[in-house]
Amino acid sequence: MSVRYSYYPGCSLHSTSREYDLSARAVSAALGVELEELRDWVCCGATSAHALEPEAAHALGLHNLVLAEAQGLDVVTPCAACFNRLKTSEYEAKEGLRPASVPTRQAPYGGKVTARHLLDVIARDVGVERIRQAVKRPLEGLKPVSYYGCLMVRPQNVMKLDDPEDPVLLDEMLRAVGAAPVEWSYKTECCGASMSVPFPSAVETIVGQLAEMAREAGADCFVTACPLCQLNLDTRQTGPEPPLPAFFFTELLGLALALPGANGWFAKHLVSPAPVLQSLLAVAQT
Amino acid sequence: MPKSEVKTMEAPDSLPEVRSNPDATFAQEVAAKSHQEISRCYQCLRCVGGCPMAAFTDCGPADILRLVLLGAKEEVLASPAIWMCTSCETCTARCPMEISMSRVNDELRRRAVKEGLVAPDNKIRKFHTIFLNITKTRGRMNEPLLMGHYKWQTREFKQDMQLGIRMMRKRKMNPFVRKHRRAAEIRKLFEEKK
Repeated sequence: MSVRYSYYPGCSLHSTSREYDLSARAVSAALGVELEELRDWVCCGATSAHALEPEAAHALGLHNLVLAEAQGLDVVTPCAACFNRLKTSEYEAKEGLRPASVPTRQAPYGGKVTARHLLDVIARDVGVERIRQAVKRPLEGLKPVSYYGCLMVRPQNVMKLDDPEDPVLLDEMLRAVGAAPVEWSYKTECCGASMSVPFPSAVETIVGQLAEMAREAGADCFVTACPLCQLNLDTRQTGPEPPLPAFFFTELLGLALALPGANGWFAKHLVSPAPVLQSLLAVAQT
Repeated sequence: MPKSEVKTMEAPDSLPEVRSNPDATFAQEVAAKSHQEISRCYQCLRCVGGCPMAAFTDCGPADILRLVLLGAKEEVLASPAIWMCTSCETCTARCPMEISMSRVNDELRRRAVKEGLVAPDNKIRKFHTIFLNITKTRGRMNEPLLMGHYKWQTREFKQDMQLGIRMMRKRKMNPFVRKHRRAAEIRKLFEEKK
C-alpha cells in the first residue's frame, strides 16, 4: 500500500527539531507513506505572522497550498503550527473569507489539495491495525501521556482532526504499538508556545503544571506531535522533580518498528529519554 | 487623549482605567476585520477560565472584549494584555457565541502597531517583529539569527545562556539555514493590499 504526499517539514524540523524530521521520514517510508518534499516551500509564518499581519499570514499559507496543487499532491506536515496555518488558509480561501490567489503565483488555489497532519495520515490512512501488524518491538511498560497541544485540534471547524478537548488519535496509535497511555485532563492545554523566548517564566509555570499533572496520572513521559510543544517540555521543566522526557510520536513509532537510527534521534533531546527506555527494553528482554 | 501607562512585561498587568471618550466605530471595525461577531459576548467568562495566559494578567480575553465593545480604543490597543495571547483557540472552543478571541487579538495587535500604541519595551512584540522580518527577507526561519537579533534588541544576553550553549552543543540550532532561493519573490506576499 502506498500513498503519496507532498511533505512540508516546516522550519523547526530543519533546526531545533531535526530528530522529528528524521524519525517522521523514516517511519513514513517504513509504513508505505511516500513523501516528496514540497518544492520551494516557504515558512508558514507560525504565530508571529498572524499576530502582526493576518493578511500576509494567510498569503504565506495559501502560497504553499498553491505549490502543493501544482505538484498535484495533498500536503502533509508533522508540525502542528504549520498544519494549523496551512489548514486555516485552506479554510478561509474555501469559505471566501480571504482571497484564493497570491501575487506570487499565476494560478489561484482551486481547492483540489488539502493539508494534513502526519499523525492523522499515519493513524487513519495507514491505520492502527496495519501499525499493530508492523510492530517488531512492542513498547510494553511505557506509560506516556498523549500531549496533543492546542493548534492541531482547534478550532475544530477548521482543523477537523479530532475532538478539540479530548482527542484520542494519538492514544490509539500508542496502544497499537504496545504502550499504555494514561488518561489525563491536560491533553490539549497550550504549552505557551513562542512565549518561551519573550516570557519564559510563564512557560515554566505552564510546563511545570503539565509535568505535575502527568506525574499525578502515573505517566513516565510525554508524547507530542508539535516541535514547539516538545521543545518547551524538553527545556522548561525547571521544578524540583527530575524532568519527564518528551518524545515525538514518530520516535516511538520508529522504536516500535525497530528502525535503525533511533539512538541518533534520542541523542538530540535535552532531557535524556534513556532512563525510560532502559526499563522498557529491560521488560522486553525478560 | 491621555494614553494608558506604559507597563513592563514582567509586572502583572491590571485592567486599564478607561479615561478616553468612547470611540463609536471601533467595535464595528474590529468585528469586521477579525470576522468575529463580538457584540454577541455576554461575559460568561468561559474564555478567561480556559485561557492559559489568564494567570499572568488581570486583563483576560473577556475583559479585552468588554473594552473593545465599550469603545475604549486607546486603552485596549495600548494594553500589554493583547500581546499575551498564544492563539491556542481554547476561548473559541468554549465560547457559547463562537467568538475567537485569538482572531480578535490578531486584529487588535495589527491595529496597535499601525497606530503606534505599543509600549516600546514590549518584548513579545519585539519577538514577533523579528521573526516576521526574517520570514519576509529570507523566506525561512533561521533560529540563531532570530535569537541573536532578539537578544540584541532586548539587551538580555544572559537570559537562557546555559540553555543556548547546551542546544548548540547538540547541534539543535542550525545557523546554516540558507535564504530561500526565491526570497525576493516571496516578499510580494507581504505587500499591503489596497
